[in-house]
Amino acid sequence: MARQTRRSAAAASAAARPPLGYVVRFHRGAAGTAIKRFEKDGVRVASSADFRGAEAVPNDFGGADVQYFERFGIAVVREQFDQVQAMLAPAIDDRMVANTRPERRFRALGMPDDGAMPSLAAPEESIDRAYLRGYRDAVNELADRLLGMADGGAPGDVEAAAADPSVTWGVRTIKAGQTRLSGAGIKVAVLDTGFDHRHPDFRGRRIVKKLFATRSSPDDTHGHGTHCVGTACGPLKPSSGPRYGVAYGAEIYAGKVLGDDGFGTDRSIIAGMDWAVAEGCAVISMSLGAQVGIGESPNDDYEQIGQACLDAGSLVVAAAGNESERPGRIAPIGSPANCPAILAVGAVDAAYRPARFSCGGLNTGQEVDLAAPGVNIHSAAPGGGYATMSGTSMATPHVAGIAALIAECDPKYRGWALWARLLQLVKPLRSPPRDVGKGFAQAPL
Amino acid sequence: MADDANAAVVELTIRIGRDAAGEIDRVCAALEALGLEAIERRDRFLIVNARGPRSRLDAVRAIDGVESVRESAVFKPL
Repeated sequence: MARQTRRSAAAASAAARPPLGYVVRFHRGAAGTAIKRFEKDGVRVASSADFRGAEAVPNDFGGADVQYFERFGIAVVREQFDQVQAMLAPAIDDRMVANTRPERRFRALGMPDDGAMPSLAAPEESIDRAYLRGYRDAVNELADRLLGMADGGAPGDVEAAAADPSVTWGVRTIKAGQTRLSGAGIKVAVLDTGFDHRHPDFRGRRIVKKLFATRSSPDDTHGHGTHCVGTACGPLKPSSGPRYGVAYGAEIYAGKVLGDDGFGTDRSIIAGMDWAVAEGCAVISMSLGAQVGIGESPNDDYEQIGQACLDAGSLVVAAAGNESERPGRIAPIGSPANCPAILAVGAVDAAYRPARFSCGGLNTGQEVDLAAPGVNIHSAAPGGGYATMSGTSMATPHVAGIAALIAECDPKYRGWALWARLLQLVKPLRSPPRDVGKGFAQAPL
Repeated sequence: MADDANAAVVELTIRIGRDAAGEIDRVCAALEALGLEAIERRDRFLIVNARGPRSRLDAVRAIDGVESVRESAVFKPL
């Protein structure tokens, strides 16, 4: 066997690397048109979306001339500079291209130039992670104590969870019990797992139901939807137990977009949103979501849909997500709540602390807009009973109910105006905006 | 393996550009011509949902007026 020298190994390694190209960033909304032009000119284009279901993405995208990253509006062109210039010239003339730069090669820190990867000890082997976690928690607790916010709550206004047994802690703290508003005449859509309209607490109410989920019964076999409808629109005086509903006079539009198994697709959710807007719902409550990674952009489809809803006078309120494991790990807001045109709701507990599961605004431009009660929430359950649940799902219908109360105040509060009024009414919290947005949702008095 | 992935039937969400807002009929006809099924249009959102083999994604993207094509995400209660 021939002995390989250090120099020949480096040369072989370099030869194995794919050649560098140019990174092209398109102006917002222009990428699709530019890419189609390339294809018409005979350029071989491969999209990152083509490999979404694949186990691995080949580094050269299967030998394509252009690798198109649809989500980012960015393409990598693997050509010589003069060819790239010729290819891009028409797109630059038409102001489709925002920026072009040479592709860079990244490497692990400490890697020598010859490309040979040094043996690095994994963090688990070199650092005591338990020690670090303990150190971090101690610093956090100390900072909280020094700031006088061990309860995490609102200044001078800590609620005792068991203060008044006639209303749930959620309804009490959002001040829904202190207003004479009921949401009368306002249509509230709750897009979820369905709704048990036979529940005795909803007798005599105006209820419209529609099934969008495929291969599912029209009933709420899951229970999540009935619980959410209960919080948003439950009665002033339930047949048993404390008051748990916010907008007790609102008209209920229950769209079953999540199937009996609890899951749904874009098709059913978009159909449900379309129905809610067509029915004239001022509020669309969506206690559902799909997980999003750090650095991931919002889905343009839902951004466009959210804007269309707002323009039509329907405010879309969505759950921020439950993927956090605080205090150690905060996960970014899920989809579709991470879209700027959709109001994202985080969850807090009875001491106004961010719920341990509540997602935060980690990705730039994807914020929690406000927070609401989301821990140990009592509400209606299928079959005429009640259940206690926790989640940003439970916080979302509190906000939807408040939005219905605001909408009842004045017809000018629709769409963006309703959004703005919700944020005007919040009670500031001490927790960072990353977790609770502008603050704790409050009903208009 | 790659052929299997391309043959897989997937749910698609197709976003129409605002410039092509008046041309959804034509886009839907083009989708039908490509063999896509269960085509549902949401005119107010400029969105079309359809079902078809993954291998047609590029062809759908190439339809004039189509801004983006995504495979459907899966949503769950939170």
